[in-house]
Amino acid sequence: MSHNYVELVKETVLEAMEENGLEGVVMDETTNILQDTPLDSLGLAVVLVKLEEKTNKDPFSEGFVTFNTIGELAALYEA
Amino acid sequence: MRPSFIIDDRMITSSQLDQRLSQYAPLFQKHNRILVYSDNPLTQNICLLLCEQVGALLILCPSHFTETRLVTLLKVHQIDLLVTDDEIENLRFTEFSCSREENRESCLIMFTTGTTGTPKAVKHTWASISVASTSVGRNLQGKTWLMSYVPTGYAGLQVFFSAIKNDGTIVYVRKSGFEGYCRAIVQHGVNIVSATPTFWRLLISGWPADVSAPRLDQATLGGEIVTQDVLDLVDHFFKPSKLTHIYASTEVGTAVIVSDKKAGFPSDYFDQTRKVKFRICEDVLEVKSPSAMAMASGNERMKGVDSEGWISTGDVLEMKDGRYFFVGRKDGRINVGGSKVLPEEVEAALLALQDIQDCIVYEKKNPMVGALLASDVVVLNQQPGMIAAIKKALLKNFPPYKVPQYIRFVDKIPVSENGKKIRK
Repeated sequence: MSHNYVELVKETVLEAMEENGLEGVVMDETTNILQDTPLDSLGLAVVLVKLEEKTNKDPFSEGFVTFNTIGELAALYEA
Repeated sequence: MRPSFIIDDRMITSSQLDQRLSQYAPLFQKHNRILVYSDNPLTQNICLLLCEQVGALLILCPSHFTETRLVTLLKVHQIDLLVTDDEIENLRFTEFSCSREENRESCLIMFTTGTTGTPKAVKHTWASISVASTSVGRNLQGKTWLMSYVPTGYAGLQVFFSAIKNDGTIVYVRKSGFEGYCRAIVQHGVNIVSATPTFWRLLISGWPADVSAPRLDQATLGGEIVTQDVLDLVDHFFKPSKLTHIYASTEVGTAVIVSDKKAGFPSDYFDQTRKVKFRICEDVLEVKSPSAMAMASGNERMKGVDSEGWISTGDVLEMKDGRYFFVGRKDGRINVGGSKVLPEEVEAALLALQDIQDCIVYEKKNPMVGALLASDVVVLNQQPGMIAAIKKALLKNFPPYKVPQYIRFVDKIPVSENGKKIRK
């Protein structure tokens, strides 16, 4: 998996946390976004909007695809 | 000689106008149902004045309508005179028949600007469309008015009749950009400006630092929700002798006029002895007025009018400290996780924050949660931590569901040609 997409997702998750006044946490590919970070589902929804803007890709255009970790989410944009 | 119109710096004096009116009057006399298809205010104005004078039916066809649509209108309304013009402002006439009918219909058919849907036809009597011109004060005779609206829309026609029937001059700025408006206001000595809150904000924020703002005789705000911050902004910047905000629409006519420099309107407007009557039905304002009734009878397809002539405006009101405030459109409510949010209410709160120059709140579909409340904002100095600060500030007065989850910085918010925010 490309390092770049993982970094992009990490950076975007941090952005969303910061915008909601949440403290940043250390993340890697295996970090489960909803369980291991203080971000809730609304915050994660914002992450998806931001990623779509940054990459011009919408992996959810055909419906919701499940993912849990930073790595799994990055893979969706890389595809 | 005082000009009647100044169109992009070209003056049309009142004697030039009179000359053209008397030139065309005999032709208009012979016809019953007239349609004008032109984007030139001079052509439109000549038709308006002559049709009112001879008591004919006039259709103001927006110039952006396609020719197919034009042909349909010609047929459906059995038009007997089509008015267009050429590049050098000569009127061109196409006569389909010319035999003056007894009891011909005397009215104006215009189209709504369609900010909330496709343009629809609305019928006014000549008396109802020009009624506002009779309440222009003696001190506002012979003044210079700015046309900030689409001239053929309801608001534009209010400015037209108010100015023309009170010996005024109307300044038209047809080039795009607020610099043109600013220059025209100063250069032509504009005294009276009526515009949307969005137009006022953009006019003031784009005003060149080296040009001092003139003192206006009258400043009017309408067409969108008027909040206290924009009233204060206009008041401080142009120091108008009179500052008014109005609630009006193509469907109900002018319903509420407030001149106490405070947002909202006093609850005693609901006094049933007034000519315009109000009631609230499930938070939505309903209006019954003489001008609305005249129209209701002529518009079979008009929605939201009951048998007694009450018109549902679709505008949601809220009572606070003895005044009613408009908070948004009923049909514009956004559903955020089951809670209804009025975008206008959130926009008002955002605009009240320092640093935020303009904004729009909208719904953003999302695979995770169905829909997110989103906002595009224009700020003066973008700084780190600003989005968190904006959210925190909104949370002081709002429950969390009314705070946009997604906030994005943009350079500007798109505005319609009538000066209203374009809702997605």
